[in-house]
Amino acid sequence: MKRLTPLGIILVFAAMVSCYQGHGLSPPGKTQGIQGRVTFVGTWPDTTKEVWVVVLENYPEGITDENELLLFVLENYVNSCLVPLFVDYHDYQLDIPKPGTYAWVLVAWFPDIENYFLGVKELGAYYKDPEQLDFPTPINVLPGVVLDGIDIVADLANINRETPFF
Amino acid sequence: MSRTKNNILENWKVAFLIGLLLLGMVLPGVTQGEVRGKISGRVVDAKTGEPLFGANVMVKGTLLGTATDPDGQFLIPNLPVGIFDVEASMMGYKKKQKKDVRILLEQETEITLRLEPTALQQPTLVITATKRKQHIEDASTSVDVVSRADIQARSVTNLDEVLQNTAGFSVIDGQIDLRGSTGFNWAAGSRVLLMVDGHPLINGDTGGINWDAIPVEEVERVEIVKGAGSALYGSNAMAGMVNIITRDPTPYPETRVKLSWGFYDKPAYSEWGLWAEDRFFSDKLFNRARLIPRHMLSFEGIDLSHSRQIGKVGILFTLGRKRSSGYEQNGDFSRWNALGKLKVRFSPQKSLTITGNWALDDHGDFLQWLSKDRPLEVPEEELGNRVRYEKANLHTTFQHGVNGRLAYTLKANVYRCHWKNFFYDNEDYAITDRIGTEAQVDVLWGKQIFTFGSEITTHHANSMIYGNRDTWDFAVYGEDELKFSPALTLILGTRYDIHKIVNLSSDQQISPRMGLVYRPWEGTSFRLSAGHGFRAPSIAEIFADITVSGFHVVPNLDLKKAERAWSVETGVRQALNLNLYTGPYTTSFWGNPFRWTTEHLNPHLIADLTLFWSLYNNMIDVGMSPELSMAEVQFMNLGKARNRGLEVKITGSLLDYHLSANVGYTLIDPKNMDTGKMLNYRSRHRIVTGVELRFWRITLGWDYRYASRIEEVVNLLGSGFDERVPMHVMDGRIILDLGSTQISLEGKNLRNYHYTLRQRFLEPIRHFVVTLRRKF
Repeated sequence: MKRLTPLGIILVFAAMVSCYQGHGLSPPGKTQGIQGRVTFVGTWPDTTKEVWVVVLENYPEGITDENELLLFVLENYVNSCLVPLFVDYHDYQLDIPKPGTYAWVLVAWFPDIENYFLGVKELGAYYKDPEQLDFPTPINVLPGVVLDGIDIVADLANINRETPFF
Repeated sequence: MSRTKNNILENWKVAFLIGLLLLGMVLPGVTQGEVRGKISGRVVDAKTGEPLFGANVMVKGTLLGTATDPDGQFLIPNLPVGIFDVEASMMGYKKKQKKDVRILLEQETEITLRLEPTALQQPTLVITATKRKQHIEDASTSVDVVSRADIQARSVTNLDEVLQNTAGFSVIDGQIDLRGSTGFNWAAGSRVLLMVDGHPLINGDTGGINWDAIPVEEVERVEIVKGAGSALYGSNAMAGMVNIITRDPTPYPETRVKLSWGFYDKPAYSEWGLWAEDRFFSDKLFNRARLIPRHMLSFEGIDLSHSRQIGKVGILFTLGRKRSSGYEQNGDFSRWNALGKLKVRFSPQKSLTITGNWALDDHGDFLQWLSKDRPLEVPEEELGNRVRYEKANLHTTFQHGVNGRLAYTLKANVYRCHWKNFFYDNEDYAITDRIGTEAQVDVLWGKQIFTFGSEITTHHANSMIYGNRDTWDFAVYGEDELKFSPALTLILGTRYDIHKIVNLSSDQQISPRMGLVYRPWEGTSFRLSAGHGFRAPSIAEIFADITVSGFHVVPNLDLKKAERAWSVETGVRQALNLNLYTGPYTTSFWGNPFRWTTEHLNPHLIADLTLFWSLYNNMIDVGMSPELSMAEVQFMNLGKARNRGLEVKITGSLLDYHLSANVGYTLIDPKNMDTGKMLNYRSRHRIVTGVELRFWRITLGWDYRYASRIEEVVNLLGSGFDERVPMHVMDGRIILDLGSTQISLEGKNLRNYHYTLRQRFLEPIRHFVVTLRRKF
């Protein structure tokens, strides 16, 4: 005890904390994402304002309340990209910030009206098997891999058809 | 706005004025008819016999006290005749009590108090918890004090950089978060009331805090009170108060100069620094062999101050200039600040203080980084985005200790802010004012101290984004401190507030509080407190209609309800002072260049444990509604939330001042009761620790802060999926003290650790600063 060296104690203590290696956040590795083709069926309505490809982490199964649904969209939003208007098809590519499973890739259509967000319609979503339209097919995004073939058919002809949510 | 509500408000204005009139009528009556004497004397260092300047002297059982002059002398007149205990206390010394001092009619009793030095450099008297001076161990809520020594030991641009070394205290983008109360609310509203010398320093529009408006070099101490404080302070104090006490003018002429210069190191990943070409210090130093080249990422500052006494008037004036290139694009700033303080002492018990403060800040601005692989850059369209922000603050305080049983304080303050954006997508502006007045009376009645008072505050905002808006606040408050015995104190208080948003709505609040302090023996203090707190929505939260970097903040005229909280806290504080004789004790340092021998280890320790719990209702936060689109947000009343946790603090020292250390751990469990999720922007675990070693004329210091990963954030355009990491920040310093000159070298974020506290905004990278202080 008598030969205790306070500076030594401090240095050992500081070294214990400092020996934690790493610098926290680091540059991203090879980006992962999805790509595919959106094919438009039917005639483009003149009232079209915007069309987006949107990726959501989960599918809002069981949610019927409009407020809850919008909150759900906000919380589960992953990424999106704008689609050019009045085209027959569009090849898109989207980065996904984090590898994982994402339940809903959809094409959203917005009318050219005031509070246009209220008029959103789902034109289509990614279904691996076009015969099985009960639920969209979840996609599994692996680190550094761009998942190809996430093709979506966007039905402009039946824009006002009944969809589960929009 | 109904006619009835208007009448209520008008009635309250009248009631306040009548109250002031009654106060004026009552005061002379209370002060008359008493026989009086006075007490004078000296306070000296028990070891050296040197007089102690600035020691607090209090006459127990009365409301009277004073501070010693440069010769260590004091005088307290107007004391009732009787027998009293007199207590002296000062930072760095053990408090000393002289018992049974006899006050005789129209005579002056002289005493001398000798204070023993102690290693603990903590102020012992605080004022914020009860609006009166009290010992820190008498407070019924948690109180932390950051001393001038703590602040001066670190060279900082803004005060919040020092305060973050306090347990349970964190700051995200300027917003104070005490024990998880706030998190981050996009700079609007504060659940912690920030004050300078007891006057609120809250913006008139956002209800937020401008740290650059605080003159860091002139701060004497900062008192941080945790827990609901609305029973005395009203809106904003729902989770606590931070009171910044500026230093008084010196009784002798004194001029101080502070010069500082620093630079940013390269980020840990060279690709993140490509935007700055060779502007980082290491590039310049090693690649170009130019030591201090132009256009480096650096920062500098100069502060000048002068203080003196002219008769009864003390004067303090400071001027500061700071400039920084920033460590990222649009991170630069250029600042000026000036402060003038004038203190007139009419008598030892009567003073008038007038303080004026002005600050100008011209800085680059952005909302989010360009991308994760270029986090020190901003989107191209935002390059050149600037904000010019000017603040002016004037506050005045008149204090009068009429006699040992009655004291009153009158306050008035004006705080004006004027900001203007020069953004690519808007050139919005706002001119806002906050004007407040307060009258407070303290009455000693037997074993009880009554504190009561009244406040009127108005906020005005004139802006492109809010229009012309006004709010009014009226309040009356009262608190009774009852001493059942020297060991047991009960505090009961309440406050009634009316908050009126002109042409929109009005709201009323009753905020009761209860506190209990039990001190069974010297050094031990048990405390329990429970209280109600609230925060009225700010003008910005209701009326803001602004687009920032693609996000549209939508007004919410339905945001009329104040957010409310019930809070309970219990804790124990234990102080230990041991004089352990060890015999000749030798301490050596690295390579033995310095050596000293002491005969005492003298360990001193203060440990504090707190358990706390809060239940929030109508919490105001950023949210969505059906009328909004993906890039639109607005402030709204959300549902219920709960926060609970514990805090442990240990401060200690060894070897007669030479080695000191502190550690604080805070665990919180904040939960949104509607969603079951953790509240946004909170870290569950937080640790702060520091060690300081003093030998010869050198001080070595080391600080470390840890916060666990922020678990939940608002998911704006997918940013909620971004990687987040815990915070590990380590700072170090070496200070050479040559008496009137002090030179320091500091390294901040020494591990060059990269982290975010809000999404897509990288916190400061490693930087170094050299500071020279000189006193004339």
